[in-house]
Amino acid sequence: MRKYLLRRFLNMIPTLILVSLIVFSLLRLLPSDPVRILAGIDDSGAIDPALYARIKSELGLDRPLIVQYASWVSGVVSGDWGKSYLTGMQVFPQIVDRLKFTVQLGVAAWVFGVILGVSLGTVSAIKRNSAADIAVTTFAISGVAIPHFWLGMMLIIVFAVWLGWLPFGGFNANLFSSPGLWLKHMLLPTLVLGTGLAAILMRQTRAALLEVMREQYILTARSKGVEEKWVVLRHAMKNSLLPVVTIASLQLGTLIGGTVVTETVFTLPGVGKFVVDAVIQRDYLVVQMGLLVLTIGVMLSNFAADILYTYLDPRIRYD
Amino acid sequence: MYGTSPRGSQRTLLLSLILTAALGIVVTSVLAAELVPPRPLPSKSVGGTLNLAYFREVSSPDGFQANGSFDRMYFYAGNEVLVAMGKDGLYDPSESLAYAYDVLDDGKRYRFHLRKGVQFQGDYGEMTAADVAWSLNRIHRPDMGSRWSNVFRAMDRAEEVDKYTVDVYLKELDVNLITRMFNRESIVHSRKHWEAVGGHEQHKLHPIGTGPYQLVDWKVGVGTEWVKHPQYWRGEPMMDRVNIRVITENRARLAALQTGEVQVAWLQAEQVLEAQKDPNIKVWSVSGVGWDGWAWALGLPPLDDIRLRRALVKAVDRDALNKSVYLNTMRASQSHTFAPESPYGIDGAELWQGDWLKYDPAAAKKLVHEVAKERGLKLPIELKGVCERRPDRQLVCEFLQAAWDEIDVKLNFNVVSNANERLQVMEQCQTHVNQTGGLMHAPYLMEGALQSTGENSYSSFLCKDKGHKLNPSDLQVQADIDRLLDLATRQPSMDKAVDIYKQVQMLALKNVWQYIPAMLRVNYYGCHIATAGGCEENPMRGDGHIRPGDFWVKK
Repeated sequence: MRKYLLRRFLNMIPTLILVSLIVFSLLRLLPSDPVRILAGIDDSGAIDPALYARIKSELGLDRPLIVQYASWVSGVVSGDWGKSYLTGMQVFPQIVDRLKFTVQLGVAAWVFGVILGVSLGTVSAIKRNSAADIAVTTFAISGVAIPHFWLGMMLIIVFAVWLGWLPFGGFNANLFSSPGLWLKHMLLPTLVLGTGLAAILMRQTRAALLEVMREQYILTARSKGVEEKWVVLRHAMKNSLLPVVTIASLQLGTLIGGTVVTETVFTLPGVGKFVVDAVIQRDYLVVQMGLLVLTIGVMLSNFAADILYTYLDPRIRYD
Repeated sequence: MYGTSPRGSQRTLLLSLILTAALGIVVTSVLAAELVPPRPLPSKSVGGTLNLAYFREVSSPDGFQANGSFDRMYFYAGNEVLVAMGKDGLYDPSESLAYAYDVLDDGKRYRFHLRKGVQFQGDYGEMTAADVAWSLNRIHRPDMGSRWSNVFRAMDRAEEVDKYTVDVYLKELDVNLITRMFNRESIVHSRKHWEAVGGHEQHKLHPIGTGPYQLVDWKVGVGTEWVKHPQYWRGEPMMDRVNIRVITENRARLAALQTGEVQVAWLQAEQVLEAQKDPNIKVWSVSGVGWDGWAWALGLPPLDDIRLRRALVKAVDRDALNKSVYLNTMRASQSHTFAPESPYGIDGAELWQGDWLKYDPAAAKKLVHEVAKERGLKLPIELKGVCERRPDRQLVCEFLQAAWDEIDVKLNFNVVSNANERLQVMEQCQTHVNQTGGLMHAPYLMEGALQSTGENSYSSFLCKDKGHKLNPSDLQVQADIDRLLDLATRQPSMDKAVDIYKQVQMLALKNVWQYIPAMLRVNYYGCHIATAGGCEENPMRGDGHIRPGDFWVKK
């Protein structure tokens, strides 16, 4: 087991190298050029060629690509993540700062999605083919189909503009010092981000539970006179949740890496929006580091899912 | 020797020098420009936090180093220019650090009279001529973060005359010096602070200016936070804090305004109608702060034929374009680079509404067929174009495509991500029509596009080595435009130059030259009436923007 985990962990290194190469090359394939942005094509529409050359040299973008790549990687390894081309700020603290928020949002949405998805899936399975089942299934389909962008905007219009109950967006709260304010700011984004996950988990829970409920040991439990709620909770749920837990664990990484639309709609200070803004501005270093960090996040959550899977199902052995 | 010893001659010379200097001092003090009092702030200090929202990130809160056209919304919270632009687009001494200026030596020297008692933020002391001269001299120093040397190529140097007077020397005449200075290039910073933080890289993050608010935090993608500068020269700022938030999503920005979470917000065209319907929001607009249209490659056949250029303009129903693409938030231009009501604008109605350029698809088609027949071109005439990936701009290209299709001209356009990419495509010199636009707060902006040596005049300048050739009559037009623009620049005062700039615009419009400013842009801001003070009167300046120091929160 230990050997497997070590091997699995070490496998992340080539993946990271591959991702770094892809990100580095794709950015440079984009037709635009950060130096032109920095050189200031302003009202006069002018670019001074000498200034252009100077900025290019200052940023090291006049060096061969392989040298640029090597310099970036050695910087990352030695802890120097460099400065944003656009703002001149250090990249590391900016990404860490935004990652803190994105992790909060991702975890909140994940918890919300898991609780809602598993509960609704269970209700749907127990009350199969009832009105409740149809309603929950409709929710699930809608949850997957409705774009986050549209849902977010609708929630803002209803809860912020019409009812005035919640802020339109933005985030300036601390979970520990001002939990009420934190909740107010996080509620709508959590709903938007968590709904998709809840829908997926609901379908998965329903399917798994229905399958387990047909097993012989469930019939045995019922024959022994065990109350139906305990049949479901103690016997059926325990076994049906294994694939649900796996999917939920894998989705945590996806959530953290996929917050960009929610962060944009609700004007949230997360890493997804930060990276997308940087892509638009061709701020290479910020994009490279942001994507690398998000990749690491997804890989770590997948790794955690693997560990959890072996823990939950003792039959699984990797050695 | 003619009766005067060398020693005597020296004495006479010395005496005359002393007398001249004394006379100079007397004349200067007598003729010194009259002090224009500062315009008081619209309200007394009320405290609290003001929230403003804008649609994009600032490239730096240090105005001198900010390089985006739309950064003004942010940096004017803390940075001030030597000569400020007023609501009419002209010099407004009552909001300027220089309350007056003189034009000396036939326009080769400008003398700026500074206000006394202007304090820098953060206890960096009084602003003096030394700070101003140092700030202006940064223009030719890329190592100090300047991007503007090219714009100020006529300027030689700035020198401190006394504590409150600065002279700017020009290498050659430039009637536009003052209008060029309206922008970030004449922002005055504290030299002491600049040196204390170690130069431009740190100053870009922590600027110290003379404005009403001092930057305390800049979080990229989130916004900037400013606190009041209690010793501000126009009086104590009205707010304790100002937050300028980045809300990129247009509908979310309007929602923030509707809920009163922000007091003032930039509005995008598609939000204007909804904002105008909301009784809690006052919408302000300034028209003619720029134009939208398209540029030609004049030397790329068949656009070297003015009949075809005219036909392409005549085929476009600009009122329909305004309604369908811009939701009636622009104006069909009746002038050229500047709006007719601008001090520099022309009345081009005769051309736009007469046979020359009036919307008339039948006449346009006739012109196209005439050109095709004469030049042996196959119909439809095929043109290439480039367009930005922005909803309105892409729609404009589709609109042009449909309009020109009606007159047997087929436009094939590529879509690119942003203005930089568009310029890169234009520099390949293979596209006939390029969707574009420009700001228009001062005449010098025409130089870049209309003059043959203009950096943005890709047709005559950039493309001359790439096979583009102007026909003889167009060469004459270009020569006339070059001559007139040179002449205008060399006038001793703007009064004398304005007529020449108007001639240039008329010439360009008549010859359908370089770019077609088809639509006049209108900038919109919304103000939340219930929570914001300052909504009553339109506070937008001639550059189409507001100043964060103009607003307060109602108690």
